[in-house]
Amino acid sequence: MIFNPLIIAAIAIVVPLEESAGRARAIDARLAQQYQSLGIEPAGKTEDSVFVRRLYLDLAGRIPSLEEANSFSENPDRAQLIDQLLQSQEFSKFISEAWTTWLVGYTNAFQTDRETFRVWLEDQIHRDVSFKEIVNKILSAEGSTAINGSTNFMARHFQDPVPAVCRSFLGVRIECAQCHDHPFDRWTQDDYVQLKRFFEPMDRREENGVVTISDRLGREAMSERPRFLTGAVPRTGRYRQELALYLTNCKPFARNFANRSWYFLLGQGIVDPPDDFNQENQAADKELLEQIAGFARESDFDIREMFRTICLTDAYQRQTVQENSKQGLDLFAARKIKPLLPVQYLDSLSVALDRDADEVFRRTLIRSMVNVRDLNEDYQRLWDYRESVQQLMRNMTFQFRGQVGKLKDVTATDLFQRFLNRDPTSEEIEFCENAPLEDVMFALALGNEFCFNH
Amino acid sequence: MGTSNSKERIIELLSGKKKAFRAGKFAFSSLAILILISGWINLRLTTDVTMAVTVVVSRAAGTDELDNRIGDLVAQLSSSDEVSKKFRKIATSDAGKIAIGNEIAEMADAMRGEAANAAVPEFFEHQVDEQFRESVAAEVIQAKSDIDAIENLLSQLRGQINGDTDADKLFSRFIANENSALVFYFAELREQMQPGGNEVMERLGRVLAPDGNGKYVVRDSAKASLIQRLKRFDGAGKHLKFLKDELRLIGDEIIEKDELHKKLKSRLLKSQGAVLVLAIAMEGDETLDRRVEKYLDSLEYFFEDAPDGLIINEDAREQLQNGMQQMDGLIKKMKVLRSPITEIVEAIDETRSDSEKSIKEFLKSEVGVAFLSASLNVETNDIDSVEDNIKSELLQVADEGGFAVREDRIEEVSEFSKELLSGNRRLRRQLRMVDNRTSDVPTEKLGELANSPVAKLILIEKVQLYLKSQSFDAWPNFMEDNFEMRDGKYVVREEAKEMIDHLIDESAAIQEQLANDDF
Repeated sequence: MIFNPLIIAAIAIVVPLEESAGRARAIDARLAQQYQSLGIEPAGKTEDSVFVRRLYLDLAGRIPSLEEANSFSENPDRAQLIDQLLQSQEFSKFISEAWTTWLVGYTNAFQTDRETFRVWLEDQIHRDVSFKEIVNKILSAEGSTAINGSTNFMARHFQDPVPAVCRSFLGVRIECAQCHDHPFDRWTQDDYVQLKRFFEPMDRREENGVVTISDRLGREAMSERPRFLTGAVPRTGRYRQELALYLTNCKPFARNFANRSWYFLLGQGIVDPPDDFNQENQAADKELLEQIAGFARESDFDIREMFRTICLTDAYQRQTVQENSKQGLDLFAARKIKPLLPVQYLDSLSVALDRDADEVFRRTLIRSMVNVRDLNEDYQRLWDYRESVQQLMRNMTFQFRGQVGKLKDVTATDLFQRFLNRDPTSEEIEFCENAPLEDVMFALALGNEFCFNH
Repeated sequence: MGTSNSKERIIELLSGKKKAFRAGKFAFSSLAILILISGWINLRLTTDVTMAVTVVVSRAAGTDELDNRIGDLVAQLSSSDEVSKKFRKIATSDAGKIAIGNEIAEMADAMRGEAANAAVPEFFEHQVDEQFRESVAAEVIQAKSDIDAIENLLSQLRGQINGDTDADKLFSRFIANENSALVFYFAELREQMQPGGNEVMERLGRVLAPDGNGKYVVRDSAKASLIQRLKRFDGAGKHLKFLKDELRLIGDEIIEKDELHKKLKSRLLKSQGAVLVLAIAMEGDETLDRRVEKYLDSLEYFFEDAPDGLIINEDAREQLQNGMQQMDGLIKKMKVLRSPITEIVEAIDETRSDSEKSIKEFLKSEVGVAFLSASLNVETNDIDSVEDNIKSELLQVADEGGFAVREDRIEEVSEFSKELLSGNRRLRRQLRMVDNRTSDVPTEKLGELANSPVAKLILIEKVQLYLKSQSFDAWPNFMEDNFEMRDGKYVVREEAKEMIDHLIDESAAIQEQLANDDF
């Protein structure tokens, strides 16, 4: 029998699509059940022109070009576009940028090499390394921050890795237990201390601006060894490696991955905020969370599979509504809007104005922007509107001054299509009639419609 | 004073210190000395060799590399016997990989202990050859000469401090000490007089990073900007030739009217002038074409035509003098930095990618060395200006002759002197410890080098550098001890069965704990 490689390749794509579609239907069915029992009328699916913009922003980190938007409107196959974007290099690059911000922030604080971490993440995502394996590598990373990108998380949080590890990978805020038992949750001070002891054999050495992370072997007697939140105690002297194993195999890790992915795409976690699972802050739908966490484990924490599944759901594809104007928003009956990240904003401006922003220009601009003020903050909640980030982001617009003049035969209507992927209304046409195109460009680039993902 | 050469070097290198003395930063400077002394003593002398090795050994293979090695082993593992099958089962589970990694880490720990004990004799056994001896000898001679120059400076002040405050007495005590020049040199001035890789890496470290195997590679985060930057330098050879030709033509026409004219003419006629101009032109964002063009255009302003040739435009004289000074400074910097730059550049691993190849090629060129030297913020100091500053900023002429500490500097000078006095005592102790430590070292290869304190201190530096460059990889030992090759496949050795059972127990215990997976 002769196998046609093209058919095999097509089957290889169709099978995960089928699986993802099945999972997406299961999620929608669960939500539909909830809406029915609570009498909620969910918003309808968003129109194609909004969907294509949303999806490009979420998976490629930029708005679609005119050609890409037109191509989709001619063949509005949403599942196909989802898969196409997930397979693109832009996906790996954008997710690596967003996750780097989540895990180490915007700056090179504490001698971290942020870009080396990002490049490493991009490579992992591009090679389809599972989320579980990526976290395993991050938690047990050894070596130089300039050579082994994965070490930068530990270098960034070296002083006390416990809060960052727990919030990032378990969605738990345990830091309140540093000084006393957690007042609103189950965590005791002993839990915190025991967890911190996993990192005691870790060393940090700095030479010529390069940090090296390494471990000594833990040598305590078994009765005196650290203890993970599941009760697991390291058997060997490689404490961090064992912690990584115990952590990435526990159910809260799967829940966190499910919730983080949901939060990233829908702008709102099933547990929200996503870094604060606690007894007072329960999941909006516990069964839904367990269901998606189960999918994560079934697919062995396949990042693309998780994103594909969520993007295929009706929940992801719903229309946006004004905040608090609709019942059931906490159950995703309508889509929440999200502010753009600086990198999305910059790349979208570049697409809208046909400016090829090379790597150095992008990085210089983003770095100069984020280093203007003290942004050594925590970015666990990526979609929080922050004046410090958003205002500075808009300053980038001025770097594109004069770019409109370079576009051939461009009109105000073209600019609306380029920036917002829609035609201007008659009122907008009238408003722009006598305005210089440069002014129209600034108005569009600085307007909320462009600065948010709907 | 010491030899004129060493004086010149001190003058070159101490000139940057002027500000520290002048701007009331003496307290900072003395604090820096204290920190450096303690750091130096801790790092270079009292630190047990074991400690140095421990830091180095931590560069063991990362998890990824270990996984790959285990994967390769499993791929070549025999399936013909039960023990090998058992090992395969362990090696393909996450818990088993941790247990194996632990076994290897234990072996690395043992290697670390052995290496620490053997480090010093091994260094002398394997590293000390004729070339090494000559290189250390040159370094020692240079250091001694520099120390002599410092000693000469301090001796001018000895017995000349006639003030009656505590600060005067403390300062007198410090400079009276026989080791004061040595303390100054090793704690403060050595890095400036003989800058090493650290100073160069302060700048290059943004682009290069040590790979843990004695080589340097381009940081991933710096690749894009490096490529862009080097692209801007495209055609540097063409520009250099053009500049050389142009400057020579101008130089030919300059009339040797006075010293400045002579100096300028000589500089323009030498090819080094073009190298320096190009290196300076490389800074900035404009293209090299544009920068060179601008530079040549500006020359029109500096000169005017006289009946017999070109003369300097008097309005531009000061600017020209400043430019010449900048060039002089750069020439001195290049002279001092060439050796450490070459050492680092030679260690760039050009086989890794085009980025490494390109930067290595650029930095090997004369323009590359000039460009890097110009961008390095290496402090230089002038011993004469230091002397001036000490005599005028810290001291003043006393009524009865000689010097006294200035009233407004009493506190600073007191602290500074106390710190250096304490540094002197520590140094004395450390030198004794060095004697003890090196007493059983096979120093015959070093000849008379082994005798002077300066040489001993430099040798200890070398030993530490050697230890830093070592890494310990226990994987080959793990393979050798536990596996043998039979018919092209790895088989677990008979004597390794016990170890395999141990690994099985360990991985089972880890696996068992994964059962409780919620909280």
